[in-house]
Amino acid sequence: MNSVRIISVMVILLAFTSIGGANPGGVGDGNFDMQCGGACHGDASQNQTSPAALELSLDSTAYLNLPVSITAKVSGIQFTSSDKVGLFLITDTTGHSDLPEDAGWTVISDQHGGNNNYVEISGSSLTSEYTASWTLKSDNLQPTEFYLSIHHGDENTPFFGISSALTITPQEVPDNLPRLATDYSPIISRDLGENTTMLISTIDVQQMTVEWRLVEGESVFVNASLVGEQEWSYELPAALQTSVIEWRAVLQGEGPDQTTPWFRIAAQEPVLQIDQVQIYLQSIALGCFLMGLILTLHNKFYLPTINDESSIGLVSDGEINSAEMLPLPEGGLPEGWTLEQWKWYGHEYLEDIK
Amino acid sequence: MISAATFHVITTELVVGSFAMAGVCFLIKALQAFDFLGSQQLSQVADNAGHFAIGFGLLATPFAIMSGISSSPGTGVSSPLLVNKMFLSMAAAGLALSVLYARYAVGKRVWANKKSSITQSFAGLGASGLMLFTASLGGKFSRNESLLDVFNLSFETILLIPFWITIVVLIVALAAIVLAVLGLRNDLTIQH
Repeated sequence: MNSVRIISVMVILLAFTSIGGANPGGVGDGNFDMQCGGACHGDASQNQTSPAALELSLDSTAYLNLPVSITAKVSGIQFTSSDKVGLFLITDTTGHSDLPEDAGWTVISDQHGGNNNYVEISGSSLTSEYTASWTLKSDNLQPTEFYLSIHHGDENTPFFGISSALTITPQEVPDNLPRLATDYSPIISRDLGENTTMLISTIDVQQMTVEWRLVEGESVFVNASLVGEQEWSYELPAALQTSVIEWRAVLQGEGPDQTTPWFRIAAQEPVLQIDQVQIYLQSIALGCFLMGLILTLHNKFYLPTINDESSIGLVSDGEINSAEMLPLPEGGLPEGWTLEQWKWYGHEYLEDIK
Repeated sequence: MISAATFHVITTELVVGSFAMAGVCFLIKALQAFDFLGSQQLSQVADNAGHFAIGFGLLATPFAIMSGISSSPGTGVSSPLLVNKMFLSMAAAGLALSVLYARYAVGKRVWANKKSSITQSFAGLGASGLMLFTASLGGKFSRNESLLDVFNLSFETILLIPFWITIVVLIVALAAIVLAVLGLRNDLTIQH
């Protein structure tokens, strides 16, 4: 009868679970290979082909060690506002070792001000075309094939799609080309409520104009100030709420004018400033405290008392299920024994001395 | 080479599965402590399976914690939610260790009376509950949604005690563990 009840309860609990292979809430931006480590879609074998049309394009000429933007376009599919759409920028279609860094490219910034190859965008019922872009740079001159992969789903089905290849071959940088320094890496995040001084390292630049804007907002143009040997700076005003600003610079010098790709900087809540050692120690102390508490309770409770009526019948294995007290041995209780212990463990003592 | 994020998925699934199994077993033992589900066979299965599952889950826990820290954005424990995850998982690990040691040291007599049974089964249930709670916070962190959203709990608040109190608690806890372990050993050696 008990078994029937247990099985019934389990069946009822299982009936409340949903069957699906997708994570409709997404998994957050990150650096993921095409199959997402099994995390984006619960089971890749359930994937169906996405009807979305995918296209990748290069925004300008790619030079060795200089940033360049790649723009992704997704069209031909309607999402709802509750849908998350995952977009991957990858360099292989085998499902592993396909991150841009595996091909010698570094993601400098992504759509959301991070530096991930995978970004999630929110669907909208008002549009059927979505764009995302990444800014990257290469440390070698080898041609690289880039692909855009998409993960999305409906109520129960995960969908997967991949674009055709976009081949990019970086070129040697021409002499006197006004450009960013090869080791320059822009700030991609800042805390809320802080003015931000943006520093830009360049080569062969004599004048710089910066254009910045909130994403999809109106542009603001400022002249950057020279603050050192090929070091330029400009100010970004404080952000009052989490937001992403994108900026680019027009570089002027002896060579032809150059416009950098759009870089993004995300304003976010301040990162938690806390002593890591204290966190770890407090965690260990909490674990030890609970362990000590339970063992102390066991130390106190585990020997049954004669007056504890509840002890009878709780023994599960038949090993000590007799509450009948054995007759005391000749000479009385063994040394150090109590009557309670004799009652429960006397039979073991007698077996031992046999 | 497997990434930290993927390894974290694997290890957390091992931890969650094991602790969920252990939770069911300790729930049965807890019910038996209150004279429900009196089957002796069920009792033995729950005892063995529960302790094996919690032991296996405990083995996987350090890997889950380390890979979780490695795969989280930034360096170390960088958000209040991750700090709370750390506290909960270590609390669960402490409870699980005490459950396993008690079972190892006392044997089946850990179920010999009501108070001891309640202590053991509720410690096992607590370990399972806290570990599942921790796993649920992982969903909150990565997907901003969790099964526990219905309770509207705030995980942006951290209960951080002063450093010196942490040290005192740690010393007292370690002393309590040593005394309890010695006490259990002494009591057991009396039998032989």
